[in-house]
Amino acid sequence: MLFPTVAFAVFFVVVFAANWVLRPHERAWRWFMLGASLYFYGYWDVRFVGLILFSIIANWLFGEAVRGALAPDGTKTSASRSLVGTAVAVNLGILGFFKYYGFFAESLLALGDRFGIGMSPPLLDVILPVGISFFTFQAMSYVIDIGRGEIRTMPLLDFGVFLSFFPQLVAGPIVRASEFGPQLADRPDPRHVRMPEAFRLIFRGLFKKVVIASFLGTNIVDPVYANPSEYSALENLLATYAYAIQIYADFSGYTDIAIGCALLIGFRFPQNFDQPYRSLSIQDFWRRWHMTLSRWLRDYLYIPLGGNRGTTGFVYRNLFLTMLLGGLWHGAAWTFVMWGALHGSYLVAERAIKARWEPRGHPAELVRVGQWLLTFHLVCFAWIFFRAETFTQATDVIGQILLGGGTGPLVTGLVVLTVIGALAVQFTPPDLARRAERALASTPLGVYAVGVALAFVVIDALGPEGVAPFIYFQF
Amino acid sequence: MPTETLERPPPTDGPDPDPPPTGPTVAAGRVLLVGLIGLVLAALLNADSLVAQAERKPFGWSRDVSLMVWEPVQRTSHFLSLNRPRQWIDDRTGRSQSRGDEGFEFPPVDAGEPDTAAPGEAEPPDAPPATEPPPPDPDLRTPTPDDPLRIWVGGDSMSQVFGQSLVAFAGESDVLTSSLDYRISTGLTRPDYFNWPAHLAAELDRLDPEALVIMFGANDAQGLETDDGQVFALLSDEWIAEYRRRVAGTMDLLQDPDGERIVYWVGQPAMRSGDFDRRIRGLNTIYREEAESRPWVVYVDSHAMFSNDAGEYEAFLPGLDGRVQDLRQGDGIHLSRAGGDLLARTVLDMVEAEAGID
Repeated sequence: MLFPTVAFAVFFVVVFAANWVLRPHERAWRWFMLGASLYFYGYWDVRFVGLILFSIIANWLFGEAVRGALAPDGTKTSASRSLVGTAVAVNLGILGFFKYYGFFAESLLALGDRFGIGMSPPLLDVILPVGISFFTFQAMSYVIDIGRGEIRTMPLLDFGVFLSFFPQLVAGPIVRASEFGPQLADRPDPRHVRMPEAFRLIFRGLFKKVVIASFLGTNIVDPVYANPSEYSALENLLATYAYAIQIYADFSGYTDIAIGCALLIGFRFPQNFDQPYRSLSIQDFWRRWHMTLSRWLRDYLYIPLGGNRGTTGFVYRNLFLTMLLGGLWHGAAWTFVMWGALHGSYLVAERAIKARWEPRGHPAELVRVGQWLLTFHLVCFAWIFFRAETFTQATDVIGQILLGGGTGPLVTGLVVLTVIGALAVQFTPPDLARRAERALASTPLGVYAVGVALAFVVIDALGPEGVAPFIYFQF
Repeated sequence: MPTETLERPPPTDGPDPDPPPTGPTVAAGRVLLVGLIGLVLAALLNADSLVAQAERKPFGWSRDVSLMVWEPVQRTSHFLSLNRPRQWIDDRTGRSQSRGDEGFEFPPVDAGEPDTAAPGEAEPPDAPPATEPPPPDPDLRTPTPDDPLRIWVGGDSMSQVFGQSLVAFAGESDVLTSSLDYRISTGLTRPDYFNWPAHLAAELDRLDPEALVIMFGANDAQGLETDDGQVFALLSDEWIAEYRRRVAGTMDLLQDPDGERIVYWVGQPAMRSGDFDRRIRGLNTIYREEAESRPWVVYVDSHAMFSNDAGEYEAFLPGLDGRVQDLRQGDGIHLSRAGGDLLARTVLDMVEAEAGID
C-alpha cells in the first residue's frame, strides 16, 4: 500500500480510530496492530506475508535462545556468540538470496566468460520483497542487542508488532527494539496526540514526494539519465543536481510521512534526515543523511570491525569497508558498490586531511562556503553512480558534463528554481517548523480541517497523475 | 555511516534529532474529527480528479465501487461549486488541457461488419474496391546526414526502457533522428484515459516519422467499453472483435498514402505470470494477424526473443553481447536495460536494413 493513495487514507483512518479505542486493551491492541500491519504489507503481494511472519518467529526464537545462552550475570558466552552469529547468517542469507542472488549469479557468469571458464549457476528469477532490507536489519539488531546484554527479550506478540509495524515497515526509519519496546509498554495519553507536528510532517512528506520528486524525475532526471549523450553539459549537470534533490525529497518524504503517521498513533520514531545538503563535510553529511542506517552500520559493522581502535590504516580500512557494504546494501549492482566506495574514499581522505591540517577556530565564511560547495559536489558526483544503471551511463553523464557544452530545452526556469528552492530550504533555521507549530497552537480545529483539505488539493493538483513508487522501496 | 566521531554522541550544535516530546497536542477524538472533515472536504474539492482516477481503473467491481462512491461526491461538489478551486488550479497548470484528445473515435477498418474472428482465425481483409488505386509498396528511403531518417518510438510503459535504448542507438548514427513518446498505463482499450489514435494522428502531422516503432498491450488485458457504452469482458468474442478493430484502425491510421513509412509493431514479450502470458499471447496473435494483412506494418515478435526454448518466460537469457544476463525487471513484466538494448538493437537493425543503411 502506498502512502499517497486513497486506499491508505481509508486504511489509516480506520487504524487511527481503532488504535485509540483498543489501546487500553493491551492484548487486543497488539493483535489488531499486527493484523493491520500484515494487511498493509500483504496489499503489495500477499505471498510475502509468510516471509515476514517467518522472520518474526525465527528471530524471536533466536532472541530467546541467545538470552538463554548468556552467562547468569548477562555476559556473553561462546554459545551466545555462536547463536548470534547463526542468526546474523540466517538473516543475511535470506536477504542475500532475495536481493543479491541475480546480481551474484550474473557477476559469476561474466567472470567465467572473461576467463573462459564455463560457469553455470542456477539462474533463478527471484522476486524482491518490498522493504526486506529494512525489517531484516531491525531483526538483526534485536538479536545482536540481546547478545550484547543491552536489551531484554520481547514477548512474541510484541516482537511481531515491532518488526511489522506498518509506518516504517517498507522504507524505514530503521527503528530499534530498545526504542520501540518502551513505547509499546507505555500507554500514550489519548488526550495528547501531537497532531500539529504529525500533520506538518505528513503534508511536508507528501509535498516532497508527490510534487518535488515527481516533477524533477519526470522533467529532467529520467530523460537525461536514460540517454546522457543526447543532452548538453548543462542538462546533464542540472539533472545530477536535480537527482540529488529528487532522492532526498523522495526518501525523506517517505520517512516524514512514516514518522507523522506513527506520531498520530502514539509512537515517536527517530529522525532520519537533518538538512543533509547544508553539510560542510562528508562526515557531517553522514550525520544528517539516512541517520538510522548510519548508526546501524556504525553500531553493528564499523565498531565490530574495530572502529576507531588500532592503527590509522586499520581505521581507514574499517571506514572504507563499512561504506562499501553500505553501498551494496542499497542495491544489487556494481554502481552502488562504486557509490559506497566513493563515500568510503571521501571519508578516509577527509580524515587524513583533517589529521594533518585541522583548522583552528571557526573557519572564515568564505572557507565555509568553499567547504559547502566541495561537499555538495562530492555528494552529487557519487549520486551519478547511484542513479546510473550502468558504469557506461555514469561515465557518459560525467563525459557530457565535462565535454558536452551548451544548454538545452530541459534547462527550464521551473526546474532551476525547484532545485535552488529545495537547496535553500536546507538552510532554514532547524527549529523554524517547531516555532511555527507553537505560534499556531491556538488555531481553531476547523482551520486545521480546511488546511488539510487544501493541502490535499494542492498536492494532488501539482503532482503527477498516478503514483510512482518510492525510490527506497527497492532497497 | 561511520565517521571519526562515530563512537561519540551526536553533535550538539545542530538541531536535536530526537527532540523531547513537547509542543501542542490535541485529543485523539478531535484529531479524528479534523481528519475526517479534512478528508471529506478534500474529496469534495478533488471530486473531479477522484472520478477521473476511478474511471481509469480496469472494468470490474473495483471500478464500479469507486465510481459508486465518487460520482455522488462529484455531483455534490458541482452543486456546491466546490470543484472550482481545483478547476482553477488545473486551468493555470494546463492540466485541464491534457485530456484534450477525448472524443476522438477509433477509425473504422471498413464500412462492413466488424471482424469477430478469434485470434488465429482471422480472414484476410477484402481486396480494396476496384475504383481505388492500389497503394504504393511501402519503403524506407536511404537517408543521408543532411536528411536523416525520422524514427518515432512510443507506446505504453513497456516502450520506456526499450525506447530509450533505441533512441540512444539511433543517436550513434548520423543518418537517423529519433524521438520517444511513452505514456504509462495506456493502451488501446482505454481511450477514455489516453486516446492513442488521436495522439498518433497529431504526432504524424507534427513529425511525419518514416519509421514508426510502437508497442502496446501490457495494459490492454482488461475489459473495454465501446463508443455506445457496451462493456465487453477480456478476450470474449465481442472484446476480440472490438480490440481487433482498434488495432486495425490504428495500423491504418499510421499508413502513409505515399508508401514512405513503415510501422514496426512490437509484440509483447513473454510474461512471468502464466495467466498474464496467456492473455498477452492472445493480443500478440491479433497484432501479428492484422500486421500480416498490411504491407506497411512489420510485426516484431518479442515474445520469442524473451522466451526459453519451451516458449516460456525466462529472465536470464543472452543479451546483446551474447552474455547471459537478466533481461527483465523484478516485476516479471518490464524489460531491464539489457533487455531494452536487445530489443532496440533488433528493431533498429530491421529499420537500417530496410533503409539500406550499412
